[in-house]
Amino acid sequence: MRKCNKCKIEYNGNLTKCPLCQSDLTGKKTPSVFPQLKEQKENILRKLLLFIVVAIVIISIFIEYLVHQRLTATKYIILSLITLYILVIYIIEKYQKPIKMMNRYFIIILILLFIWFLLIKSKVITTFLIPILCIVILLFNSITMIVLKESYINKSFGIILLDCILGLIPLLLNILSLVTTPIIVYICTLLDALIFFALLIFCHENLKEEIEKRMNI
Amino acid sequence: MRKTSWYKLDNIGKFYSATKSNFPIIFRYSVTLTEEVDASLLQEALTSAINDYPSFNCTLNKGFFWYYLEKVSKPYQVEEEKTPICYKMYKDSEDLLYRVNYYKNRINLEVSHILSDGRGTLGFFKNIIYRYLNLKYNLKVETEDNSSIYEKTEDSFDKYYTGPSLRTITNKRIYHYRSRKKKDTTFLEYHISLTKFKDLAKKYQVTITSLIIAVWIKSFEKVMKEREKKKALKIDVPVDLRTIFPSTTSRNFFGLTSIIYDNYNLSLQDIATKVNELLKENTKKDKIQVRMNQMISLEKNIGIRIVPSIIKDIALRITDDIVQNNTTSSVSNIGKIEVNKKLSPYIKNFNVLTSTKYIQMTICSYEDDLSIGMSSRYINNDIIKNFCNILKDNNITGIMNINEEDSYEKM
Repeated sequence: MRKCNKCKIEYNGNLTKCPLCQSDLTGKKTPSVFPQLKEQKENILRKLLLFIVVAIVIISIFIEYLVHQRLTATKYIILSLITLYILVIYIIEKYQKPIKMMNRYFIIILILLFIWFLLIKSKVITTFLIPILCIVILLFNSITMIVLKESYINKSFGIILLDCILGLIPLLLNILSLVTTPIIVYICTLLDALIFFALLIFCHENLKEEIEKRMNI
Repeated sequence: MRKTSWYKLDNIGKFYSATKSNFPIIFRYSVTLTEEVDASLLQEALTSAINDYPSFNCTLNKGFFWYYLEKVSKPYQVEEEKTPICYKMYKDSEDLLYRVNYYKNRINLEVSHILSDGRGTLGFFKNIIYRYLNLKYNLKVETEDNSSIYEKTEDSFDKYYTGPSLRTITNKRIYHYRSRKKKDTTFLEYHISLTKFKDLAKKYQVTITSLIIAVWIKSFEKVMKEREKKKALKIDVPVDLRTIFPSTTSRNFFGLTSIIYDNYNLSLQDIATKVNELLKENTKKDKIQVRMNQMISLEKNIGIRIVPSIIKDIALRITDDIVQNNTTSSVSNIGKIEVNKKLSPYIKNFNVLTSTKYIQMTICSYEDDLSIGMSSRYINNDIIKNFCNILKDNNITGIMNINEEDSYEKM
């Protein structure tokens, strides 16, 4: 065991100097009780992606301002890049749990679509993109429930319920007159209602417990 | 049919779940055995121990008003130690809030404070050790648990809460050690003779906890600048409420008392006597009951209960920052760890450590070994050096384990 003659403390491990007074230690080394751990590396890919996004944004601002003395196309470039960045980062972080990743991914895309709609005010988003996405979410959940049965229902009942609520968004958009052709909205609402009543009839115990724990006050 | 069940969080769990992204509070029990650990036997021991302590095998989930614990069936997969001590464990709602790992002769159990406190976890840790040693050496030693699973998972805060109490606020300015901090935490275990330390405490006519706090206060006093001595030192001391209220819960059940000290330049004897008096006074049942009620009354307030958890999280994180800045340090004494005599030949020592934002101390003892765990985020170890030097001046020296190699190079 190594010893500090000043502090009179004996040390286990590979120390050469006293960690308290920095004096040289004497005596034989003994194995440390703690393992030598490699330093946790930071995610370089994440940093690199962020740098590329920031670099493209700066360069496009610079070029557009230099050529037109105003910024119009740049805001779309920024929006597209941020969307892409969020989607790629999410895949990198959550790829080990694909079903959970997909469920969260849908919600992120839905939020991003709303942001896009608020910024560019195009009804293509509310008439087609959002309802189609909601149909995809509902179909994804239905197929996963049929394939994985109880294991998925027990684990992800909260997210299934949330998706049922999200499935009503296209109907809400239609009520707010933000939809031009409502046929996809009707299909989405029909599917949503079918899934909801299926849950209510076949999984009412799960539904009760889910509400109990999520809403415990 | 859904088979999993869920638990409401206790008072402390609710606070720590909201502040987990600020800084996760994780503590670690270690036991050093006489022989190398067998991973498969340890896994077997854990799998059976978790049946006695189901409230540990839980994941944290977010409800609309509060977080809650969801029971899962599969226990933690035992592994060789590969993460830093008290490394964050909550990345996802599917992550368990404890981990069991091993390195050479050591078994480590790391637990998030969201789940349990030191005394509550000790029963679970001993259960794992008993089962492991029984398997390894073909022994038949009964585990010590006499309480039912219901008693172990009980929310004792809720049981013994008697009603709101008025909050007392100290108007003293509290000293907070300011020095360069580092990204990682330095963990030190200082093993000294319990008999020698007991003799010193006897000489000063104080308890072991009082003497350790007094030495800790003196160590801080030595690093304080003269102008900072207008402020008071505040050492938080967790009190195991199971010693005051009849409870065998393995969930959080502790109260906090504080030692506020501003009479500088006293001798160690005088500080120890003062700390002893304060501890005796502050740990009386009526005072502890008031402190406990103060802690719980906020959670019970209907106005707070109906606030969505997203807003509660932000408010509690701000509160946590204020509380942390209003404390100098904390000293937590788990006390004497005893095991069945048939198992003691296989056990060398126990140790307890905790994660920290600043500097903290955790203590436990086993046979004649008093293990003082110190965790610090500061680059310089002067407070710890002062602590060891004061003990050395009283003829108490020992063996130290540190999780870093030549940390002075980072200065």
